[in-house]
Amino acid sequence: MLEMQSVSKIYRTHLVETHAVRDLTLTVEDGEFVAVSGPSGSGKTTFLNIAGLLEAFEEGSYRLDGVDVSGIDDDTASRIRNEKIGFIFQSFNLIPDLDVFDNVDVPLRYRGLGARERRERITATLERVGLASRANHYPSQLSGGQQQRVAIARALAGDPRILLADEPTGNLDSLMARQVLDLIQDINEAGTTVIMVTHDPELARRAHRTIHVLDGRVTNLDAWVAREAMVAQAADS
Amino acid sequence: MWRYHFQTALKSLRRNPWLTSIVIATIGLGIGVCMTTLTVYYLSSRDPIPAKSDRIVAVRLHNWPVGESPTGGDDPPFELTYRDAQGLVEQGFAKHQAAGYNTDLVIHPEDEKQRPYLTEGRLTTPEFFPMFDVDFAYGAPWTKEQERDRRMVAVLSSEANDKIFGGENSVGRQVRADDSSFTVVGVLKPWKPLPRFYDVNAGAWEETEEVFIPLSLSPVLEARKGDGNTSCFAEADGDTWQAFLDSECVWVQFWAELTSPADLDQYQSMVEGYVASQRDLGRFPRTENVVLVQDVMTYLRDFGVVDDDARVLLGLAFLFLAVCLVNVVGLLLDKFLLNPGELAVRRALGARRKTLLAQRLVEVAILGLGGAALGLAFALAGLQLLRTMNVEEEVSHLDPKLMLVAVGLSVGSALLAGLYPAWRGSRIPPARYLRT
Repeated sequence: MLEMQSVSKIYRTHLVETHAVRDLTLTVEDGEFVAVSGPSGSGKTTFLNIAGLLEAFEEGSYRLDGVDVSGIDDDTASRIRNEKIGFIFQSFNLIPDLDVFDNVDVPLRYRGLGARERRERITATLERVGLASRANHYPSQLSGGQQQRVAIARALAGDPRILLADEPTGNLDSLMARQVLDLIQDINEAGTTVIMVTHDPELARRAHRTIHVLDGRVTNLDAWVAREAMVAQAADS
Repeated sequence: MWRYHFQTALKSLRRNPWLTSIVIATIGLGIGVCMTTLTVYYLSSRDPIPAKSDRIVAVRLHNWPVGESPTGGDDPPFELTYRDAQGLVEQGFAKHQAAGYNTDLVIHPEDEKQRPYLTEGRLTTPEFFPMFDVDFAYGAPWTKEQERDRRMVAVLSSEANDKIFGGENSVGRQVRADDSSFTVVGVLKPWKPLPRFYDVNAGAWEETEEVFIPLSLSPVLEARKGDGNTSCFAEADGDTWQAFLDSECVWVQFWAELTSPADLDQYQSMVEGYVASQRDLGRFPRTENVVLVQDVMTYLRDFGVVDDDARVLLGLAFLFLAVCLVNVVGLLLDKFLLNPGELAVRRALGARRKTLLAQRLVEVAILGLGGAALGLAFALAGLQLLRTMNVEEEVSHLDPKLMLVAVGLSVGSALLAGLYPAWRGSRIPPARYLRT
């Protein structure tokens, strides 16, 4: 589903050059549920932005669903995002002056679907996330958990091949977090590939596997922990 | 998709009502000022007889001594002597020709309950009517024979016929003007060319005369010129009216209709031939710049019906609109980049740059429509203000065509001002503005 080879992303200012992602190589199989963990500033979100075609990268290659997406133009990237990728953000990113129905409708509008098909898809996904009765509510009238479920419905309505979730439970209490995670797990079990960035090891355990990103690289966590312990020991002695 | 853009735009505009109002007010102010001056300019400079204006010509003859001219420059006067006007009518070089001038008349209505009233009349020759495409409700112009025989006949304007005869067919009835009685031979349909091009000297924005009578009656009636200048470089040879008619004073308008604009050179040659024949009588001392034949619009331009001040004002008004638009650019940049989060979300969900650009331009077009509505209201107020400052009503009312121009100008200006902010908004990097 996702295949990155030696991908690098550098942010440049006139003073400093920052390697947000460095020589990152990763393969995610179709239908996998992968958790991405790592400390703040390690490059997790940049990785997710590159995976979601929201940011370009300088080096390496990237194939998504069998298509080489390295260096594609903006229109093609937009189309692929619209047709194949679903996004879930920590801050939900709902449009405040659109009601639930219209928020879910946004990606379908850009796909150019007819009114009837859009209505059917929206109704079905809202039922799936348990918010059919809230279709006419505005985001401000919903709890955080409900808002995140609207965001999930919006991501699912387009029937994506891959779901990219950036700390999807970061703004939720534990009960709501569990409900949202259950929903994401259901989505994965229904066949959608999921890549989820999370700090929380408990959430990461729900994934089929966890990859650790450190200094912009995918890292073998066990080796890293052992090396850090050795460094600490050496410093103590 | 356009419907969706429209709905999205309305939501976006409602989100910042103050900013939206300020943008609309700024566009409206610029459009209002522009439309006020444009209306006056347009109505002042429009073609009063578009079907024929390129082949109807005014003849200007320079009968003045070398170094002198009533025009201020060295061009021939705008009007002719009575004798030259009559002479050119008699020559009949063109398809139609008419000479004439306006005069004041006191009309005595048939109904004795109605009081006599002062109005404007015109002494002219019968081809005035077909040349200027004046339609008759009843009757017809007087004939050339009636003109030659100095018959006491008259053509009434529609307004005069309404006032004097209650709008009935008055052909054959008598109308009393000053101390004379005229037989009505024709009644015009409503006719009001603007500007009143055939006699701008008496006022380009005046009403059409109410009574038209043969020019050949001038010596009989001793009908003095009403409004407009009479310019003389020498005293008349005596105090009589006939002496004035025979003088070198210029005060009569002369117009001719050519078969085609291409005939202008040939016509000019014929007029020069007439001038040459007059030189044999000791007239026309000049050898250069003696004959000027001008089509309607050239004549009006030369006369200064639209003066240079109006052009300068129009330029300033558009400059003011440009300043307003520069401000609108700033306001729209604020508006479109104030909330980049929504744009970033839409981009993440698959909106292309050009889709967002189109959406923003729809928003800007709506602002332009709002600006047009407000601008028209400002223009109406501005024109009303001009009327209180004695600007003629004829050039200070909103023309329906100009209302459409206002809408087009406003939407076009808004789109122009909004293009850069909309483009900037459509190109924001989504990853930077997504709240994670």
